[in-house]
Amino acid sequence: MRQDAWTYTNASAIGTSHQRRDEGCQDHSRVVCSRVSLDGEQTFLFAAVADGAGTAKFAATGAKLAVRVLRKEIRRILLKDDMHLTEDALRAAVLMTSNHIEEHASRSSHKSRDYASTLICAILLPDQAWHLQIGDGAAVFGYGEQRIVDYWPAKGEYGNETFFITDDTVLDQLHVREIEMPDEVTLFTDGLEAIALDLKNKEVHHPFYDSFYRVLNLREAGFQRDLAEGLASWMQTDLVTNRTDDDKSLVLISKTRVADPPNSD
Amino acid sequence: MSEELEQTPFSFGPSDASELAENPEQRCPCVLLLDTSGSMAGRPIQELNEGLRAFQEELAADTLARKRVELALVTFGPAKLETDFVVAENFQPPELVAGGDTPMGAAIELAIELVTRRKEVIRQHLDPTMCLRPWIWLMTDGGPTDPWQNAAASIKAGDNDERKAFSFFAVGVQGANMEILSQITRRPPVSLDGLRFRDMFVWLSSSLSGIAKSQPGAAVPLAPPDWTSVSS
Repeated sequence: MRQDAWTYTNASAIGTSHQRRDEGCQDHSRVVCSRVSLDGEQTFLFAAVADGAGTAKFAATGAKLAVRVLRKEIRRILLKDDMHLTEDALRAAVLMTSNHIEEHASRSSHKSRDYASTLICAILLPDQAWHLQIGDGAAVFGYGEQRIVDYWPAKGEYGNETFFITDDTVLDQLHVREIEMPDEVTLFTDGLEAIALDLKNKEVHHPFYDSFYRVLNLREAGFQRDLAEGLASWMQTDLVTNRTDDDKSLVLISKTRVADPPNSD
Repeated sequence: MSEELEQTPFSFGPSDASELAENPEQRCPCVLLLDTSGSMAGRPIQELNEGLRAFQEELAADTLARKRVELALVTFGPAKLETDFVVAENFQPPELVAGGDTPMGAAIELAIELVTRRKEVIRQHLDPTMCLRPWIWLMTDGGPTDPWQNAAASIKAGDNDERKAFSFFAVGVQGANMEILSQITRRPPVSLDGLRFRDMFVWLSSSLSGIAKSQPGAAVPLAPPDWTSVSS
């Protein structure tokens, strides 16, 4: 078993309210595990969920752009700084991402806010783990039996207001923190907040996570395609859609507990 | 991937309600501020009552909105709280009767007091983020017969881009003094086409449903109303 092996899956699904309004899914999620160091031996796991603002004209593009550009920026820093991240470097990467979206918008004569999106990201390196977040949704980090919400969803004055990567004040609203290396990482957009978190008592609802990880923990390293499909169908079940009609994204990552079959790799 | 997995849909994730967290629904308070003065007698009040019932039915048919939209009903004149806030699924539209003059100023002040108080209650009992920006929906077929300047000042102080205490909308039915209405509200008042209360309420219900479910973003795009008369 490799030291830095991760087992993961992810999915995004359109909410029934967006379906009714004939809109596409404005959420986006991605997990990429790649080898970026000069010797090609060290893994860089990048996981993100983004929720394009309902009011933004190109919300879906905004969410995808935010995720793609941020990953590229971070990858560039890792190559330059020998697989090491600092808070300042990550803040700069977020600002670059925000600027990139603004340039993209102005090239097509649109406004940055037409691409407004929240962004939650977890970065797992061989000896560093980082959490980065703008806006609502949440990242939940597991350590043994414990699960910790590093940052409670940021909301504006009313429940339906939040913060976006395209805001002028993005750096004021940005949460960046180096965290202890977790055994488990769950990221989700606000469409799942109300069923994954006890918002009033600010607690994690463990049965929600257990139902996923008792399956994921039995898998070998790498992306689990069948579970991603299972996850996408689960998001469309009545159990979920009766509770939330918003778009939703979920990323599930677990430190691999199953050894690779012999002879592989 | 084994064949077995392809044949039986793979079950992954919570399959039982107990595996999902329970949280209170967010709330979107809305005050209907309806003119029931003497001039509404006859067909107008009948159509209004019919519209209210359609409003209730539409909201109740929406599984999330009926738990999230909270309705209160204030009529004038005289300014009177007919129904204090209830969630839409429990709202029972009363049979409104026309009579009296048009104390719109007092009615507006009552509505603003109601949403302010309600917002506090929601924030204390649920969570500060569980309250969506309240709506006050005024319908009149006349002009105020009482001083309205204080009410207008309160609307301007509470409904603007800096202070989003509530959103105030005004609809004028034929005979309404649109000139004074536009001095009272910050958003331009709109004119109802004939007595299309039903269409207006169906639109209002669908807009409130949209607002009640909105997650991110301060503003929810509203469908253009199809019940207004073409302004000249």
